[in-house]
Amino acid sequence: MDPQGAYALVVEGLCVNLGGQPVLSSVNLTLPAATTVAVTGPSGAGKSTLLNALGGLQPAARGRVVVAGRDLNRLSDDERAELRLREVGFVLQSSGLVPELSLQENIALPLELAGMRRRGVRDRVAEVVAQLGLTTCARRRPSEVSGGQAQRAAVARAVAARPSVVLADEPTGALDSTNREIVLDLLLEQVERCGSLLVLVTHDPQVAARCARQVRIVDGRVAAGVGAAGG
Amino acid sequence: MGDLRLALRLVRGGGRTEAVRLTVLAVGVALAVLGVLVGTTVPRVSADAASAAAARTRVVAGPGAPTTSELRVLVSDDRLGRRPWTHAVVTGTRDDAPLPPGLVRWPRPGETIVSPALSRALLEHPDVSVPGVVPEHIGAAGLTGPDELVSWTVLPAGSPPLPAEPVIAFGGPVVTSSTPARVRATEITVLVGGPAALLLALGVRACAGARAARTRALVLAGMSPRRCARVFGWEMAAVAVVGACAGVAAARVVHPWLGSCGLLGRRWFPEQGAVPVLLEVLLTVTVALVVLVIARRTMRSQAGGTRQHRLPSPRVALLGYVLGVPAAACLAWLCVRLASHPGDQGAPDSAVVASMVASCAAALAVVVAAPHAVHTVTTWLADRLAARATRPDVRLGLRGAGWHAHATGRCAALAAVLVMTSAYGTGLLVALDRDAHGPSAGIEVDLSTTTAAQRDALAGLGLTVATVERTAADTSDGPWTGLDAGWVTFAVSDETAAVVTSRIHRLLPELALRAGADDADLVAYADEQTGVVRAGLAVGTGLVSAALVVCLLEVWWSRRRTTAALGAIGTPRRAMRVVAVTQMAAPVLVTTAVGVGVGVLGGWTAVAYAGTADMLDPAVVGAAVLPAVAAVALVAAVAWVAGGRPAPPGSLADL
Repeated sequence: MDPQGAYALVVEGLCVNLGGQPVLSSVNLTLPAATTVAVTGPSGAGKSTLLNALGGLQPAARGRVVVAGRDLNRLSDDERAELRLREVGFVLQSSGLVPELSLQENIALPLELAGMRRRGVRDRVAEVVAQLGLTTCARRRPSEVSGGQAQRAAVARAVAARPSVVLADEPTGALDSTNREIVLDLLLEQVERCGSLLVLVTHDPQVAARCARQVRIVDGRVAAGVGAAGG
Repeated sequence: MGDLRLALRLVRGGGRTEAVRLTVLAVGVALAVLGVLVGTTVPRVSADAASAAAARTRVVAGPGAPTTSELRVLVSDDRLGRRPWTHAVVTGTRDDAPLPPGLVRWPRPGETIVSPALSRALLEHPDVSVPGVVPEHIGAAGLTGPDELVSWTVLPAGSPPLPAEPVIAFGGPVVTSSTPARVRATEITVLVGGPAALLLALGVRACAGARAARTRALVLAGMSPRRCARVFGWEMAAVAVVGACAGVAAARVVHPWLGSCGLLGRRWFPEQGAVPVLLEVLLTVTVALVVLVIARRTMRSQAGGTRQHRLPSPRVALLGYVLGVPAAACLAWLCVRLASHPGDQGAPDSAVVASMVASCAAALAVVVAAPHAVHTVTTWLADRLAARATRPDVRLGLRGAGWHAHATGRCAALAAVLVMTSAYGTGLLVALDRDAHGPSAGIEVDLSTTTAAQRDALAGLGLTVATVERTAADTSDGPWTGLDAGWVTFAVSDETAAVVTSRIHRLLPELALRAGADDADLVAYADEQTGVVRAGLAVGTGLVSAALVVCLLEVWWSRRRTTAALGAIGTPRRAMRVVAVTQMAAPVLVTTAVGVGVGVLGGWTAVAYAGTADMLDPAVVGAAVLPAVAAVALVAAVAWVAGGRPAPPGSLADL
């Protein structure tokens, strides 16, 4: 067995360029499952780019990313999409829900695309909808609910398939303090239930403090001696 | 900073996407201008052809008027196959005899000068003989078009003068078009003006949609919605001027090419139907102003509006349903009534007008009601699929079609209009062709211009007599050779007409024949109408297709958010493609099916104008089905490609 298979996420010497300019340089991380990691750093440091690269949405110029034991560099576009569908959940700053679908349909979509049976989808959606307090607005579309409700739905969609890794990019950045606490609590509770690794990009020190570990990115590199997790 | 300067700065600062959208608008404007210029070509060419025909009209000395001219001309309306042939026989060509336009000299006695088209046609019909053809052609000034068959034959020396008044000059008043100006204006407005305006409006709208984020930023920065509209208006007007100039330039290139290839059903000389420079300038300015006005109105509503998603209004759609359902029912009723009509009578004018009005109403109804219909149908279907929990990709596509019903509905409506226009236009063309080129009338001879010797000579040719038309005063039932009034018609086919007429001309050169159509005015009318309808159809179809492409691009761009969201959750590429194809092609499939039904009914009622016996012409069905299949295939192909493209890196930030 690959010794790295024990980790939910392994990043080795990752370099990413955008528009010909290096954004990330030689990033190394080794993150186990069932933990929470906050990625912090100043604006433009490359935090969101790192998250996109971890999710296979941003190709690496050099280095490699291993998610749930699978090297993204060795996967085709379709295989990366398949991996995202089953092993990775995304939560974005502005929910990232499909605007045409209701909250309930958004939550069900990854499960249906993954081929889960009808009854299983219905039960799982009902479960997360109840856990996240979305029962009253589950049939509404994202544009018809508040930002907090949409963000809760995004959390529900991200964890519905019980992924190995949940990637969250400023999930509370657009919310007021009350909703921020609610969404963060729910997100942490859900990843704990699923036993997933949470990688959370944030500016907010209070949010970062809620995570078990912190990684600080400065100028595209993992800043040493600031509580960097793993490697 | 001035509005224009700010507009130019924003254009310069726009990214690749904005450059693409501006290019799309410029191309759209160019196509619209090109379409208007090409669509109005046929009437201009007809006017120039009428001038050419007038220039060779014979001016004769009045009966008994003193004249020194001995020039006598007798013109026969012959035909070669189904093409009319103006065959002039001449005597008395002295040095001082007037010359018709297109000739630099009279042929010598016994010789014939022919038009270039006749020269080519004679090579293909070696059995048709014309005496002494010289290698010299009639010039463009003496022809109504490069396809015209004309010949001037000077009879051999010593031939008796022709039984006609002496010609003292050539040139007469121009006979104006046989088509009423109001009819022409309506045809050009419906077939060309409407689609051109539609294309401009959609192009501007797509550009306005692309500037939504920028507009919000400008409004937040303190710019009034009115000023935003002004800046956008200048931006669009500048692009429109560039596009219009490109359209004018393209029209100058296309005009002679269209004239030489005969794509619009007739050919013309490059100098015929040329667009006056003043008209080009006027069109450029008009288009720029129209775009300016549309842009300002569009942007004012966008800058002052909210970001809330709007679904199609049922009240607006109701107008479409109220208009469309009775229109379709009227066409069906007309079709049944006319098809079951005994005999082969042409449909009455009232039925033709009713079918035109119903077809226009149905097209308008589709445009008005399509977004609501698409929203209703696709949402209903998606709900049904959701109940079964099958095919999430198809369901998501249907949801997308319903959610973006304004854009997908416009695509669907344009595809349906394309199909209906094609079917109805083809019906009109079939009717015009049947009207103008019915069964051949044979070769007619006016017996009052013949002598007994000539009639005996004609009888000696052994031709089959089809009809003898006696005068009302003549009640005898003797042989036609004994008549000195009335008409005799010899039966000929299209293939043998030219051979028989050449035999008669050789035997009796002084005899004028009529072998052309029954009604020359009707043929001229039908030819001009055919040209206008073909030009309008070609241009209208092109413009509507371009508008369809603009709409498709708009739908494509509007899917960016959905594509990014689907990509983030790991949707397989195949599922993404199915989502895109369902979203874009399903509405088009539904409306084109309606378009085929209504278009075919309309086309058949149009064919009935020329006769109800064979009104259910399969050509109309083909003209409806072909563009329908093409539209669905085009949309599906675009959607398949669009769906397979992942969202660009970094697009998650747009969510």
